[in-house]
Amino acid sequence: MGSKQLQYQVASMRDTLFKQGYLDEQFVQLEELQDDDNPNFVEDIVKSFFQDSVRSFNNIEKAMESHPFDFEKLDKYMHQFKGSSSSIGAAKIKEESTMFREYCRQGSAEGCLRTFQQLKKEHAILRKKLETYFQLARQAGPTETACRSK
Amino acid sequence: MSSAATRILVIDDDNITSKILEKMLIKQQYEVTTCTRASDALDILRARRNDFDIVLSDIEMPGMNGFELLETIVNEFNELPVVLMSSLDDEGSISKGFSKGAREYLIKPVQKDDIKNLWQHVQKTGN
Repeated sequence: MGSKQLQYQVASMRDTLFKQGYLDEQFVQLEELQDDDNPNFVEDIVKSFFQDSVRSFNNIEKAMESHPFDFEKLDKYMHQFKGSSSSIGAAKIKEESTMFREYCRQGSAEGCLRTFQQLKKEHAILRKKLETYFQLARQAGPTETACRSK
Repeated sequence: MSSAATRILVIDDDNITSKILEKMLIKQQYEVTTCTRASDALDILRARRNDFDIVLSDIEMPGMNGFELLETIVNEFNELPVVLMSSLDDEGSISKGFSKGAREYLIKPVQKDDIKNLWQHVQKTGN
């Protein structure tokens, strides 16, 4: 596949991620930080996020083994996770995190369990989509980013 | 006449947020030092007081939180400006930050425009 065609595919994939609500404008902020000094900045940050997520999820799952739930502890873990997801523009993940925290405030174990399952699902979906996106972006090579928009 | 870089100490317990902020600040010509705990920040400031022009701190952190850190810095380091940042965007938290001496309160996720004229803004509010 030609370079131009690949670049078009990358742009189209990116566009879809925004249109389907997986990413928000914070992702654009990340892209604007990428430069010659850090040509893989976005991918590196996103990779770090998914790596750190494993620890967050482990903490939450472990906390959910105790009954009754320590909602304060769960809320604290989710607060931090929500912060990172928000920083990379992971919109759907951020939404689920917000809902989880709301259920913590309400003291709803069922709500927390249900939302956490959905959160993990969204997390896995986004991870897969972004892995594919970055793989394709690497194949396509660098593009002009001056006019990049959401 | 060349102007020296503004030296900023950033405190945030979230690794991802910290890396993004660092990059944002470096691109705005700041000289950046980061740490993840308020207690570490105080150790750094006590050892290197004259090495920083401004502090940027998260609020919700394990151990000492940002409000407590702010109070300690105001007491110990007088003129050193502190900017708070948080996802807490309610009026109560914002008022609390300013009443304790914060020069600015940024809502997370911090945008590059928040950082752009931060130093100039902080200098103005300090006068």
